[in-house]
Amino acid sequence: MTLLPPALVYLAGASLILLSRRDRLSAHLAVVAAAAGFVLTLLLPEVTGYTYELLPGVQCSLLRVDELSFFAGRVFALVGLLALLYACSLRDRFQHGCALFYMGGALGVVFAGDYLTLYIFWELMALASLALVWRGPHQDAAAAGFRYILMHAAGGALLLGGIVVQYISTGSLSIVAPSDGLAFALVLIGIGVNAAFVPLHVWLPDAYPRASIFGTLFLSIFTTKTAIYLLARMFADAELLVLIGAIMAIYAAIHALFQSDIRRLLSYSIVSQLGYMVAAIGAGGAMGIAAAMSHAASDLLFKSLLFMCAGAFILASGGDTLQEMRGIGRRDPFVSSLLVLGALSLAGVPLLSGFVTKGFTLEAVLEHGAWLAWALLVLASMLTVLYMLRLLWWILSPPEDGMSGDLLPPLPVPARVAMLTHAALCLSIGILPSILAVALPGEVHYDPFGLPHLAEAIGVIAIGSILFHAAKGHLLQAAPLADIDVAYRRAGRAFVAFCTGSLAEGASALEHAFQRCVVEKLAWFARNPVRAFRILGYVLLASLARFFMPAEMAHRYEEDLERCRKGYPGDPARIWGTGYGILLVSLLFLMYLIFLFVRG
Amino acid sequence: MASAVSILPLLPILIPLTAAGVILLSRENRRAMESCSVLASLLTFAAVVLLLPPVLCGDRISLEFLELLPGATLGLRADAFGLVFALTSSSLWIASSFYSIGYMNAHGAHHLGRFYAAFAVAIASALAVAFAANLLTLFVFYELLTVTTYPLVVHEGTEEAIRAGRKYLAYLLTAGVFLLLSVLFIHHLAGGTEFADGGILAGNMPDAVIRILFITFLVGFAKAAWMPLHSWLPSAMVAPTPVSALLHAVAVVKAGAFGMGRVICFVFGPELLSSTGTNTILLLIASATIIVSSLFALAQDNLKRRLAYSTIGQLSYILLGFALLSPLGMEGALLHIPFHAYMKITLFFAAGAILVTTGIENISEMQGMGRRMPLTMAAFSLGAIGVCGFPPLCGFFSKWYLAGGAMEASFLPVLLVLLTSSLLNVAYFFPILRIAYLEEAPMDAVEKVEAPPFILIPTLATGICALIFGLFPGFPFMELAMLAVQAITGGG
Repeated sequence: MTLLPPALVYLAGASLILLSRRDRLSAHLAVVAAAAGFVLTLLLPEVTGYTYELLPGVQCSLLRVDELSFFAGRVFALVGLLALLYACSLRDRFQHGCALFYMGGALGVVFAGDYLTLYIFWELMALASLALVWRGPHQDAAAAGFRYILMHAAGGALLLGGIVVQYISTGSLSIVAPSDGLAFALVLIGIGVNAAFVPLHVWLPDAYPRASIFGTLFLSIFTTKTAIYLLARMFADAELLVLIGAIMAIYAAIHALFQSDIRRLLSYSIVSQLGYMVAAIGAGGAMGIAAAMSHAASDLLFKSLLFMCAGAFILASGGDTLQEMRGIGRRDPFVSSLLVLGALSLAGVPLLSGFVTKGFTLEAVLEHGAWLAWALLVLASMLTVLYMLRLLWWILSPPEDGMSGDLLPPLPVPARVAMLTHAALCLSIGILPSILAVALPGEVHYDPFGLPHLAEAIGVIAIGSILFHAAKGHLLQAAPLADIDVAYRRAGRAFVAFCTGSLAEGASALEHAFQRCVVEKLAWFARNPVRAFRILGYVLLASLARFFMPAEMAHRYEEDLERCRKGYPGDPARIWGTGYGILLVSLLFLMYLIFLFVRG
Repeated sequence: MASAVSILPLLPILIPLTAAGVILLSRENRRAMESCSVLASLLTFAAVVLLLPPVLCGDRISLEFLELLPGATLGLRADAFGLVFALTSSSLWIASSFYSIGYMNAHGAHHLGRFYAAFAVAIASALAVAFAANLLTLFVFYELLTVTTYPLVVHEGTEEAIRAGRKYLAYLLTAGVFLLLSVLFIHHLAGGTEFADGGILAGNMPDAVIRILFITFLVGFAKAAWMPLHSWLPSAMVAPTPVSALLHAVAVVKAGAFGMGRVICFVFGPELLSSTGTNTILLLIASATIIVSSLFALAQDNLKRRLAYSTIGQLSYILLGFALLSPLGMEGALLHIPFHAYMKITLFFAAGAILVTTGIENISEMQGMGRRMPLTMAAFSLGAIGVCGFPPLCGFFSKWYLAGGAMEASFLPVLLVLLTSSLLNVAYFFPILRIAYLEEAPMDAVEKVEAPPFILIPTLATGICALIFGLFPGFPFMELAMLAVQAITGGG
C-alpha cells in the first residue's frame, strides 16, 4: 500500500470528481483525495518502484524516491492539501478536478524515474493548468489562456526534443543532465519556460491573474516549483543559471513595484523569488540545492498565504486592483494580520521563514563567488521590501470617505485553518530553522542568525523602508511598465495576419495561375485531341511559314489555322472521357520516352 | 519466418464486395442496406482479426488468385506491415457504418444504395491495397479505390460537389498514370513486382534512374496529399461527413501514404535509398508540407477545411517517417497510420455531428458549443489534443517515435520541423476549443442539443479508443510495427 505512487491517487480522485455529477461533494472529495495523497507521500520509503514497460523495450518508473524528490513531494502534497482546504467553499467540481489533475501531474513529475514518465506528467500539468486559467471569470481569460498554452506547448516541444536527443545519443532515459550540448540546451530552455526565465516568463503574470482566485492559488504552486525541482535535480552547477537567476530577481521585482493588480503584483513576485532559487542552483553544490529547495518551500508557504489573503480581499471588494482595495484590511483583522505576516516573511524580516531561506540562497551565491549576482539579488530584496510596503500601504491605509467600514463576514473555517497553518509554518521555520534543515537533502551547515546575515537583512529592510517613505508619492499611483509580451503579441498577430492574408492570397493566386496555364489548356486539348494536335501542327507550320515561305503561302496556312480553331472542338457527340483518356495515355507514352532516354 | 498459403487474406476483401452486391440488390430498402453494411463491417473486422495471431507469431499468409498475364499475377499476402493498415481501416469501418446510419438519416437521405455500396467497395479496395503482395495488385486496387470513391465525393450532386469530384478524378487519375508507369518500369528492371523485405531493386542502376522512379512513384501516390498535389483534398470536404471520414481516416489518404511506405520499404529498400540519398527528396517535400499546411490551416474558418489541412500535414508525418529510413522513423510512420486515423475520424465525426444538429460549419460560429453539445465537444477535444501530440493520447507516441527516428538518422532539421509543427497544431486547434468552451452562445441558441445516438456513440467510441491507445500503446499496433520494421531491416 505504501508503495502506491501518490500521483495515481490524485489522478484517481480527479477522475472521480469530474465524473461525479455533484458540485457540492467535490470539495470534500478533493480534500480527502489530497489528504490521502499527503499521507501516502509521507510514508514513502526510499525506493525505486512501479516500473512498467510503456513502450516495448523501454522501462519506465513511476516512483523514484530519493532525498530530493521526497522533500519536494512532501512540500507539494502539503501545500496542495492546504490550497484545497482553502477552496472548500468553491462549488465547482471542474476546478477541483483540474486542481487534482494538476497536483497529480506535479507529484508525477517529482517522483518520475525516467524522462518519458516525466514528460507525460509535465504535459498533463500544462493541460490541467490551462483548464484552470480558462475557467477564470475574467473576459480576457480566453486570450491569456491561449497565450499560456502556446508558451507551454513551445516549452514542452523543446523539452521533448531534448529528451529525444538525449535518449538516442545515450540510449538511456534516466533523469540526468544531458551531456550533449544540444540536448542540454533544449532541456534547459524547455524547463526554463516553466521556471519563468526572463524573457520566457511572460505567461506567468499574464495568465495567473485571470484565473479564479482558487485557480490562481493552485497555479502559483506547481508549475514553477516543479521546474525548480528539475533544475535542482539536473542543472546544479550550471554557471549560466546564476546570472539568469539574478536577472529574473531584479527584473521581476522592478515590474512588481509598479503593478496595481494585486495578483499580477504577486505573480511578478513569484518570478522574482524564482530568480533566487535559480541563482542558488547555478551556484551549485549541496549548499546551492538545499538553499534553492528550502527557498522554494518557504516561498510556497508565504506566497500561498499571500494569494489566499489576496483572494479573500478580491472576493470582498469585487475588484482586482490595490486602489479598489484601499483600506479593506481594516475591515478584516484576521486576514490582514496574516497578510502582514506573509508580506514580512517575503520581505525577509528576521524570525520569519523568508529571512531564513532567502539568506540561505544569498549565502550560496556568495560562497560561489558570484559577486555581481549577489549584489543584484540584494538589490532585488530591497525592491521586494518596497513593493510589499506599497501593497500593505494600500490595503491597510484608512478607507476613503463614503466607503463602507463594516467588518467583513468571516472566511469559512477550513480556509482559516489552511491560512493559519501556513502562518504557523512560516513562523516556526523562521524561529527554528532546524525544522526545515532536517528535511533538506544533503548535509549542509548554515546559520541564518549569524551576524553578517542579520546585518544584511536588517540593512536591506531599513534602506527599503526609507526609500519607500521618500518615494511614496510617486510609487503609490505609478502605472505598470510594459513587459516584453507586448512585442510577442505584436509578432503573433503579424504572423496570423500573414497566414490569413498574404499567404492565403498567394496560394490561391498560384492555384488560379496553374488552373489557367495548365488545367484549362489540358481541358481544351482533351475535348478533341485529334483536332487539337492538328491545330498545334498548324500553329507550328504557320510560324515556320512566316519565316521561310512566300507571304501568300504563309497566309494560306494561317487561314487554315483560323478555320481549324473556329471549328474546334468539332464533333460534339464525343464524350468527355475519351479525350481525357487519350490525354492520359499520351502522358504515359511521353513519360515512357523520357525514361528510355534517361536510362540510355 | 513461416509462410503459409491460405484463403484468409481474401476473406476481408470478399465480405465487403459481397455486401456491396447485396446492397445494390436490396432495392433501396433502407433498413436492409444499413444492417447489411453494419454486419459486413463487423464480419470484415473479424476476418482481419483472424489474421492477427499468426502474423504476430511471425507467419506470413499469402494467396495468389489471378494471373492477368504470364508473370503478372494478382496476389495477396498478410504481413505485419499491411495488417497495421488493414486493422485500422476495418475497425474504423464499423464506426463509420454506424455513423453513416445516423448521419445520412439526419442529413436527408438520397441514393443510399449507391452510397453504401460504393463505401463497401472502397473498403474492399483499401484492404486489398493493405494485403497486396505485389505492385501490380497494389496498383489495381489503388486505382479502384479512386474510382469507387468518386460517386461518394459527388454524392450531394450539387455544382460544388461535381466540381470537387472532377478535381478529385483529375488529380488522382493523372497520378495513376505515373503509378502505372512506375510499376511497369519496376517490372522491367527487377523482373517482377513481388514485394520483398528490404527491396527488390538491385543496386547496379544509375542514381538518376532511381531518383526519377522515386519521384514518379511519389507523384503516383498523390493520395498522400503532399504539397503541391494536395488541393483535391480540401475541395473534397463538400462530401457528406462519413465520406470525409473515409477519405481522411479510414482508407483513401492512408492508402497513398501506406503505398509510398510499401514502395520505400519493399521495392526500393532503405539501403538503396539511403546510399543514393534519394530519400532527401521526400524529406524536403514532407517537411515543407508539414509546415505550410499548418500555416494554411490557421487561415481556415470552415471547420472541415481546417481539419483537411491538418490531415495534409499529418499525412506528411507518415511520409516523413518512411523517408527517414531509420527503424524508429519507420515504426513511427506505421504507428501514425492508425493513431492519426483514430484521432482524425473523431474530429470529423464531431464536425459532422455539429453540422447536422446545429447547421454550423464555421469555427467563428461555434460559440457556446461546449455547453450545447458537451459530449461531442469532449470527443472533439480528445482528438484535437491528441493531434497536437499531448500525452496521454496516442498522437504523442507517433511524435515520440518520429522524433526518435529523426535523431537516429541524424536529421536534426527534421526534429525541428516536428517540434515546430506540434506548436503550430496547438495554434490552430486550441482556438477552436477556446471559442467552443469560453465564448457565450448567441441568445437564440443556448439549449442543449446533443447529436442522435448513432452519431454520438461512434464519435465518443473513436475518441476513447484514441485515449486507450495512448494509455496502452503496446498492443496491437506497436507490436505489429516493430515486427514489420524488424523484417525490413533484417531482424536487427
